[in-house]
Amino acid sequence: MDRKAVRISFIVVGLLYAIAVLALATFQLVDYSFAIITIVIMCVLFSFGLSGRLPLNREKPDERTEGLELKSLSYSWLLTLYFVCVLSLLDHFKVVSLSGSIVLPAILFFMIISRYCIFWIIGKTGENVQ
Amino acid sequence: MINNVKERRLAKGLTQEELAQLTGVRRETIIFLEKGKYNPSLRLAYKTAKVLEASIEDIFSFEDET
Repeated sequence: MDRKAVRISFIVVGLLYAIAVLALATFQLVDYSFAIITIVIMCVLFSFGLSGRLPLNREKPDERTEGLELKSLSYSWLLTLYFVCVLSLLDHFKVVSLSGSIVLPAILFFMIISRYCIFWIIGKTGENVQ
Repeated sequence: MINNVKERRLAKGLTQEELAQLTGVRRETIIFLEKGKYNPSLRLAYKTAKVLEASIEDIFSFEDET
């Protein structure tokens, strides 16, 4: 499957998913946490769709891009670890009451966004990845 | 690490895109390489030197910070 077909198929799937969730929300058949998870899934679908890539059959990046990707993933995991620690402390000291249905989508969303942000920042600043 | 990739590329009449294709990397990599903001792998340094018809030592030189 070429990149254009992958891009179109993911965008179509994302749009269908969005329409389905909007229809469910209209008839009050879904709750708040489900809506957040849906948004996260849509972000993933659209990000793959817009870049025209799949994790398994994507073309091999060059050495600098590969280094940037590995570095951004590593920082993303580290930041997510800190994020989980902060959430744990907030819950432990009863600052906020957190449940799994809130924390899991929040972590998913944080990991995805932080990975793209860090990739963009490192790529723009031209930090040496060697 | 300093280099004279840009001067040698221009002397050979190559664009950044053409050099990127010949060395098998993205144009952004060539941009950062020419700015001295990216230290290439030995493989990329060798390919670049081969395309620019020079030795690695002629193109890349290491500045000792000590």
